[in-house]
Amino acid sequence: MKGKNFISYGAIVKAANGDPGAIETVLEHYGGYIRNFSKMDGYVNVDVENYVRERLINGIMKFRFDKE
Amino acid sequence: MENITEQYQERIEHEFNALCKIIIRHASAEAKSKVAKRWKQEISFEYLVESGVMPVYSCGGFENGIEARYPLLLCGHTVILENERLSKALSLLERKKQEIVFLYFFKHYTYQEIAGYYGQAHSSVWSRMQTVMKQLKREMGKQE
Repeated sequence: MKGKNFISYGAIVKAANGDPGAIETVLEHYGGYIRNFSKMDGYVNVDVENYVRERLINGIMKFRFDKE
Repeated sequence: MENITEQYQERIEHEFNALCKIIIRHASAEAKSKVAKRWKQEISFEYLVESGVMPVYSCGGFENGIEARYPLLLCGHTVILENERLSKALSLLERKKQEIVFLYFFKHYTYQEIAGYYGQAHSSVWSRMQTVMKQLKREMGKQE
């Protein structure tokens, strides 16, 4: 992951298992990205941001590790 | 767990990253369309009021202008009615009956919600509403 900033494997495992701290880390990590996509008319819309965060948390919990 | 290779970890990290970004993009598009829909309605209302084309809550004629509306205090809220007879009939009702009318017609609660609010069965709210309606009709008939 040279030059690329990804969430570590350990944190992903924890987050997928519902660890609140790890989920918070993920939300923080994608905070800027979320806000960037929550902009309406140039301003961050809080409703949109909250909805996206909620959906992201649900998505994280559903993440499955497929070990081939 | 020792068979988890670095390659596998790397792949998972990439997959997770991609998943998160997809979720964020889709969720934001979804939420934005919802909010935009709401805004569209809100803005159109504001525009009507500001430009003075027509009052928001009327579809009837306004021959007498703004004086033809009857403000009435219901449960601490002022509601504006256009019908003088209805306004008088409503003000004659008992407090609890006024409350039900207010919750149902002005707050748009369902019978179920009103029943929950009063701790009653929803059928009793319904029958009470029928009584109120009959009474209103009677009162309005009297004023004719």
